[in-house]
Formats: sequence, structure tokens, C-alpha cells
Amino acid sequence: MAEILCPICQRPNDAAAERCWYCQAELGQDESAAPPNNTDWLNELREDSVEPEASASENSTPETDQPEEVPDWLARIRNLEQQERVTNMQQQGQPPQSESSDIPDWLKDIKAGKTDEKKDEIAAPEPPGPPPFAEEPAAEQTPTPAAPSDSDDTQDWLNRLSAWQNPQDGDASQPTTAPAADSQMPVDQAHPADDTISDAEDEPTPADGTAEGVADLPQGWQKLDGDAQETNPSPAAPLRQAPAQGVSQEVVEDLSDTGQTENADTPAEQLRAAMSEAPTTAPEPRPFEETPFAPDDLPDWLASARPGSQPKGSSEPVSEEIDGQTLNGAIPSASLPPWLQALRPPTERVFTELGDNTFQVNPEKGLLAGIDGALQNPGLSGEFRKPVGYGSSLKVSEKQKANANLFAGLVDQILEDQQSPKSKSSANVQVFLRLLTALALIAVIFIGSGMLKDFTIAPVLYPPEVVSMIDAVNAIPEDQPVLLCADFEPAVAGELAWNSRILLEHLLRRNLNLVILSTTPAGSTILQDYLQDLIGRQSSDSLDARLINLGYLPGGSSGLQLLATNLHNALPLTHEFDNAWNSAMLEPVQSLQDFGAIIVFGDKAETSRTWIEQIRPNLAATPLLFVISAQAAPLLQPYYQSGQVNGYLAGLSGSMAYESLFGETSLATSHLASYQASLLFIALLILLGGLIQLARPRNTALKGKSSK
Amino acid sequence: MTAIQSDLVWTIVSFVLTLMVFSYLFGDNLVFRFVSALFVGVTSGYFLTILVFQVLLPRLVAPVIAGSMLSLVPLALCGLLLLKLSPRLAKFGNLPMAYLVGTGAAVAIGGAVLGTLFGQVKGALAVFSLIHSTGQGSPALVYIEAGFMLLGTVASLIYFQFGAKHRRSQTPKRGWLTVLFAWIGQFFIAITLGAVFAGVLTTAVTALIERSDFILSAFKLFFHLT
Repeated sequence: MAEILCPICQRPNDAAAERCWYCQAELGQDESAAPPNNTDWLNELREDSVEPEASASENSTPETDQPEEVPDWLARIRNLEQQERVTNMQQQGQPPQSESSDIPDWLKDIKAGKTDEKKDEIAAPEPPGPPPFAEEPAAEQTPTPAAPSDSDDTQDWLNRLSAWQNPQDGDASQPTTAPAADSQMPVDQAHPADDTISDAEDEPTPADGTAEGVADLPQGWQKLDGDAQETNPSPAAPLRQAPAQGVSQEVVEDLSDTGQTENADTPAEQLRAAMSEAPTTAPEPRPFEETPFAPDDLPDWLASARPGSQPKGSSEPVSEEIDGQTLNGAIPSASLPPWLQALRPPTERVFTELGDNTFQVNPEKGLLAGIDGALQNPGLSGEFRKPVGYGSSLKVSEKQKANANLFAGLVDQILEDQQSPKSKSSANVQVFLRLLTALALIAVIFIGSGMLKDFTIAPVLYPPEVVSMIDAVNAIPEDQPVLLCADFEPAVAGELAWNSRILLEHLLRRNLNLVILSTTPAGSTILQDYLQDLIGRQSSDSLDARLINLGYLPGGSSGLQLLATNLHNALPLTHEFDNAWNSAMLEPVQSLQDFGAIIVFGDKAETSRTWIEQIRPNLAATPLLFVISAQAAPLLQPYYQSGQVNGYLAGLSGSMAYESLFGETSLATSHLASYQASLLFIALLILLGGLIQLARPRNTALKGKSSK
Repeated sequence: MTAIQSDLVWTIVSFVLTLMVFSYLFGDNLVFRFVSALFVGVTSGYFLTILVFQVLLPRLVAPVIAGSMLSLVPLALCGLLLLKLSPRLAKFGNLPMAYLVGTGAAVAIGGAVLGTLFGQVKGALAVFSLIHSTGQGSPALVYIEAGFMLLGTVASLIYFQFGAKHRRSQTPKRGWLTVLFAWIGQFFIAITLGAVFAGVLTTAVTALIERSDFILSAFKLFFHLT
């Protein structure tokens, strides 16, 4: 598959890619699939670096004087490029340059790491110069054959390289052996995230053909190649070592220096001689044509790159001059692809412990020295820390926790009550107790009606409302009918039947005419049934002559208001749809005041109050009497005391008092024993329950504490 | 069927229904639910019959048939009120509803003011009248009793007064006098509620005694018959 070499890192990329996969540099359209001997990259670099040639020449001297650390990737690249160049030269049949004593050491180092497979790609002898910006050593770089038109450019480059290399001949020759011994540098430790480095390790060993070609190289080249074979099979290592020797920086400077043409011939000749004499034992299949060895085309940051001394890492067998920790701090951030860089967690110390001059361009040091606007390595070696973990747990305040616990306790309590086996047993116990209580109460009622009659306490004092009522009933004229109003629910019909029995008997005994109406649909029927039952027991007289049922009065309070204001329109017909007001009984009645008394049978205080509010103002002297349930008595008492109610019977006790006053015994008196016994039994139960509740701790408090 | 036989039948029916209601002692069960549904159904049917024959026919239909044009107004309002059943046409039923609510509120408010408020105030003041308290003891006792009743009345009313003065940087609180009367009033209210509860209990006991007596009578009737 055709590949495109990145101009920056010199790594192969897909032909259709627009950006380099590794360093995200733009892959120009002109960069087609790079054949092994393609040297277009060199020409492009020369075009781009026309401007910085002058500046590069200015910076060459100071850079030359300051050998700096070169990162591993740069060293590898240089090494690979050198190997490729050598390989190409051999393939083209160019005699290797005679090796002279002036062969710089960096050439020797490059020679040690070159491969044989790249011989064909080397078009012209070029000075070995590892590209400072290339992460991957030149092992992956396919060697591009040098075009014939590039020979002049190559020689220029070589000339400039030798001019750059001359001041450092002495320095470059010294650490030649040191890196050889320390060249066994595990690439993974230096660049664990860099795939290119691992790929560099997987490069095949140079072929034999290339080894033979390498053997023809000058001595310097041979030495370099031998070092490569001895120490590190990876071609990247020697190249990596070379910058540590203070050579690569000079090479870079020379690459960017377009003004150094004075000695162009000399280094070129030396290189040719070295390459022709030095045998290649382990040529690297790295083409040098792909590397930007043209100093004038290099960017400033590349031209000003200088290999510097790096402190040794504890586990990295690098040269002494290479600061592994610095490289570890600098290289990952610079060499990692963006996608990988994004995966790295942010570290606070990275941004908090930077020096003041971190982001200032320091032309004196750093790999990117001399490059405008480049961020310097802040020297974070050993300062990396584990990023602050924000955690995935839900942040809850104490108050929220308390509320949540309380809610959980309530829910658990409900669930326990529903699901726990204790709830079922407690429910059975409750049913048993309820049944036991009911049976006991019924037994007391039966026993009281039979055996406790002698122990009853008859009321001595009569309630004033009962006295007033009996007086009012006794005062009703016989020619005036009595209006009986039913305003109760059928549920209390049984109690009202017992409560009102004596009163109805009193009315019937006085032979008063009775008119019935109801504000509830069933009230009139029930009240008529009361009277019918009494009539049937008292005498054989029918009730039809003395009773008129006006039926149901709708409308609630509005109906009562209408009844009070317009009696005939409120109830025009009887219960049997007869004209009520044409009868002899009701003919003289025009309003409520014409009745002898109005007796309301009610079960609620509210309905009784409505009768008082609506009817009372329209009753002049007509008494308003009530027969109510015991539950409404306390709320009707104020109306009696205010004079709005003339009298009332409340419950069985009121009926018993009325019976006592009337001198007749009725249902109330006959069931007095049962009534009093049952009330006593209930009172004892309430008292016992209260005492037990006081003695036993509260279950709710315990459950609340347990839930907490 | 003679009257005695009909009474016997209805007595048996009442007896059975009473026992079915008593089955609630064992908890909610199907028998109780059945008898409850039966009572509700019978009551509803009876109510419907009463309403139709004693309200709608004589008060609404008959006047219209008789030719009263004024009766068309309530008939129309009843028709509009029935439109409340339709969600789309419910807005047309707002007129009769407004009339019903308005008249009901007016009657209730008028009755409450004239019947209860004025009457009770008059009654509270009338207690202090020695004329009305003739024969109830010495005047001092009358005044003490009246004062006690007035204090209970006022304190009970103040108990339900929750207005408080707003103060900056302080929680709203009632005045000390209001708090004092409220504290007194809660005792009167507690006694009143206790009396109401006693009345409710008495009503229930009376109903139980009545039903127990009925059951006993029914047993006697059945045994006499057998």
C-alpha cells in the first residue's frame, strides 16, 4: 500500500490521510506515496526553510558550542536517515567516500546504526543527520531513492553539515564508545506510549547485502556500524546516541544553515570516502532521503535543536548525557499523538508548579531552543502526580442524608408491617381482640337488660331543655297542627326512633294533627313509619285523618328559606301528589307561624343550626323544638341558652328524662340498665387502655429511633 | 300475603342483614361489602324515585305542562346544568352553577350572620342579665357564671386567631395577650370536643342496644314460631 511520509516525524501514513497519524502534521498534497528513493521531502524542506537560513547560520555557532540533549526519537531518526543514505549510495554504486581522519564521530555513530535495506533508497551520499523532530527512528522510514536532480542539493547539505561539524570533531569523537555500551536502551521505557519507538525495535536487522555495502564505507562509518551490531540491534539506538554526543545538534544547525557553503566540498568528500571504505555490517534499512538534512530547509526549532545532557533515569540505560527524566517529561507531551494526549489525566502540578520562565522562549537551552513561541519544558521530571480524582459517587449533604434516611426508615417500616410475619399475627390478634370486645359488650347489654335492672340509677335531675320541651308540647293548641320535620340519615333512624318515641306518644295522646316533611328523601317515610308503629300499638285508629305527609323539601338551606318565606310554594303537594293546602287540616295554615310547634328530628348539629338560622327569624311565638342525636347535643346547647331553641331531646338520656316527666315508661326506661351497663363497660375499657398506654413505651418512638 | 307474614319476612330480612353488618367484626369481608353495596343501591334507587316524583315532576314538568312560561327558566337552567357532563359543553353549565352557588352562599351567610352571630352574641350578653337569671342564685354567682361563659367564648374564638405581627429578623409571633387567651381557649375546646366524642359514643351505644334488642326479639319470634 502506498504510504506518505510525514515531513515532520517521517513516519509512514496512509496515502489518503491528510494529517499525520502520529504528530498530526499536515500531509501536503504533493506528498504522494513515497517510493523508497523519493527525495521530494528534502526539496520541500529546502523551500520552506529559505527564510530561516540566515537565522540558522547565525545560530549555528552558539548552538554548536552548546551540545544539548537530543531526544531519542531524534537520535533514531538521524540514525535511520544515515543508514538509508548509506544504503542508497551503495545501491547506486557510488563509491563510498574515502574515509579520512576527519570523519566526524556522528558519522561513525550513524554508520553503526544503518541498515542494508535502505541502500537502494539512498540517491546521493548525504551527511548523516538524524532529523531532530522525528520521533521514530529511521528504521520505519522507507528509503527514498535520491533523484539525480537532488545531488547538488545533497552536496550543499553535506557541505553545510561538515562546516557545522568541524568545530565539534574533538567532542564528537570522545563519547563514541560510551554510547555503544549504553546503547542498549529499552525503548519502551523512554517512550512507552510511542508506537513508533516500538516499531523501531521491530525493525529487521540489516540484510547481508547492506552489510557488505557498509563494509565499503569509510572507517568512521564502519565503526558506527559495528557499534550498532554490538550493542543494539535497533538502528535507532546509535542514532539516538549520536545526539547525546553533541553531534546531532550541530547537524541540525548545519541543516538549517544555508550559508555554510564554504566547506561543502570537504565534508562531502569525506563522507563519500567514508562511505566507500567503511564496510557495512549492519546496514539500516532507513532511507536518509526522507530526512530533512538540508539545513536551510529546516525550521528554526529544528535547526536550533541541540542535544543536551540528560540525567540518567534509574531504569534507563541511556548515555550519561541524556537526561532520561527530562525526556520523560518532555517527550510524552510533545510526541504523543493528540488522541493519546487527550487520554492523559490532567495534573495539577503540571500547571501549578511551573517556573516563571516556563512559557518564555529560552534560546539557550531546551530542545526547541531558538524557536519562537515554543513552550519550553518546565522541567517536570519527578513532579508528576496522580491526578485528583473527583470520584463517581453522588455528593450528598448531611441534611439530605438525614432526610433520605428518615424516608427510608418510614418506607421500611411500612414494608415490614405489610410483609413481616409479625404483621399477620398482629392482625389476627387485633381481630381476636375486636371480636372479644364486641362479644363482651353485647353480653353486657343482654345481661344488663335481664340481670342488672335492679342496679340501674334513674336520673333524678331533669335537664332544663327537656323540661322546656315538655312544657312547650303541653302548651300546643289542639287546633293547630304540629309540623314534624325529618332531617336525619337512615343510619341514625334506630336511635331517633327510641329517642322520639315518648314525644310522639305525647303528641298522639293529645290528638294533635301532625304534618310531616323532610329535607332528606327518606326522612318523611321513616317518620311516618314511626308514627304508624305507634298508632298500631296504641289504638286501632288510622293515622290518615291526623297525618299529612308533605314529602321531600329540596334545596337544603335555600329550601328552608323558601319554606320560611313562602310555605305553600315550598310544598304545594303532598306525598301522594294531592293538593296539601286545600285540606281541612292545612287550610288555616298560611305560614310557619300558624303551626302550633315545629319539631325537628335531626342527627347533626350543622343541619340543626341551619333550621335555626333560616326558620327561627320567621317564627314569632311558635316554639322550635328538636329531637336530636346525642352527638349533636353539645353544639345545640348554646342555641337553647340563647333562646333560639325552645327545647330539645338529646339521646336516650333526654328521652328517659322526658319519660320520667311524662310519667310513662317507654323504650328508653326499659333499656336503662343495658344503657348504663354498656356505658360503664366502655368507660372501663377506655380507662384500662389509657393506663396500659401510659405504662407501656410508645411503639412509634421506638421505631423512629431504630430507623435512625 | 297477610301483614303478619310480610312482617315476618321483613323481620327475617332485617335479621339477616343485621348479622351481615356485624360480620365486620371479623374484618373487611365479602359479606359486609355485599350488604354495604345493597344499602347504597337501595338508598340510591329510593332517592331517585323521590326526586323524580316529588321534585322534577311536580315542580318542573307539571308547571310547564300547565302552561306556565316562567317554569321554562328553571327548565332551561336544568338543561344547561346537564351540559356539565360534557367536557366541551361544560362551560354552558356555569350559569346555573353560578346561580346555585350564589343563592346558596347568600342564604348561608345571611343565616349565619342573623341567626348564629347575632343570636349568640345576644345570648352571651343576656346571661349577664339578672332578669333572665331569675331563680338561679345570687347575682354574684350569675355574674361569675356569665363571665366564665364569656371568657370561654372569647378564648375559644381567639384560639383560632393566627395573625401575628411581622418583625424584622424575628419570627412572627402572636402577642402575649393573644397567646394567653388562646391557651385558655384550648381547654374549652378540648372539653367541647370531649363532650362531642361522648355524644358520638352514646349514639353508637344506643344504636347497638337497639340492634341487639332487635336480634333478641327476632330470636324470640323465631323460637315462638318454631
